[in-house]
Amino acid sequence: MKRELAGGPCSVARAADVLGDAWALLILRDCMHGVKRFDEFQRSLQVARNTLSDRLGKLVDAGVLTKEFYQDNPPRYEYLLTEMGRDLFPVLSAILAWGDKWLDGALGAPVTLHHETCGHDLEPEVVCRHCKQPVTDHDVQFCVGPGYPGVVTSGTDFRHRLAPAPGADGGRPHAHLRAS
Amino acid sequence: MQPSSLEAVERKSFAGMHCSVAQCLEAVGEWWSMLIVRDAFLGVTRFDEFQQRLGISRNILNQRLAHLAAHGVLQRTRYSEHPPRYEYRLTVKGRDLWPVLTAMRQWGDAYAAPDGPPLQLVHKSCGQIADAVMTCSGCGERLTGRDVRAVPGPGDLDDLAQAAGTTR
Repeated sequence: MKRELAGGPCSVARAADVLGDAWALLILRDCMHGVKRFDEFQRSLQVARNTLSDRLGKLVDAGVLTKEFYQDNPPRYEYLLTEMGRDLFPVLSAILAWGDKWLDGALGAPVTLHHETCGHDLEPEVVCRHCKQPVTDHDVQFCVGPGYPGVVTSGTDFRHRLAPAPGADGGRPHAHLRAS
Repeated sequence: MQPSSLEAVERKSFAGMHCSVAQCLEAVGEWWSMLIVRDAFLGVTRFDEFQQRLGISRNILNQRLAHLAAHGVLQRTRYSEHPPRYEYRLTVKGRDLWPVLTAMRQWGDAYAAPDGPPLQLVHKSCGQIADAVMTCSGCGERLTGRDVRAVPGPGDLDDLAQAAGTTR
């Protein structure tokens, strides 16, 4: 397994490591809009071809995209989301919603997402799978999970900020936070 | 600090993109900044602890914190006069990044945590391990990319919206 990011035992850090950088995320955004081919990505992103090629390669290596041959002469490939890549949709929709709320320049959202199942323009919401109620950072207790390593590089260890088990003391950082 | 050439490219290009994903990345800057926001959610407020947690150089961290403060994601407050010391806390705008972090964490739990999730969230009101899912605010149904169509919004039409229209 590859080395731990400096962020320590943390799935956010691991996800950030796969996403690589902002270009990778914009490539994934375009994939979700149906963009498949190198020249289309390049037109959409206006990014240098070698940078694009590098990022596409890294996303393929990470298992987020597959590279499929679609033409012989000259050889041409298209890039398709894998299941792992499609599962990044919640990340992208959360980023989109935050950008719409805070960074729309008072013009309104440039693009809205229309939920075809119910017919509404949607805003994604985070809810608890068990009780279906909205979940914010103030509604949760942060607990040590089963994948927290026994030994962690000092500095990146944040066990002291977590509750050792659900319902035990600790893991409520918002208790010390002032709402601003 | 010397900005990397990649960062210079990002700065130049994202500002002109009429896309909320790109604008979010403009504000958050790069993924290190998201780890700073993550730590702020865990209750980290002080420079030295951010630095210890993230293991990045002091001047890079300084720049990232200043960037997040300039974009209104963190609020910088002086807590000691002699010597001058500051703490960094999430603003409302910063706390609104919660769904982004939640979505990233759950994706990481699913695909990059072979030993199980390093961290679990317990939903205080129901007492269960909260497996937070993204749902549609209209109907409450769980969201996937397949059920959603991107359409031009009230803001400017842009290359993304046009791409969405021509490639589907």
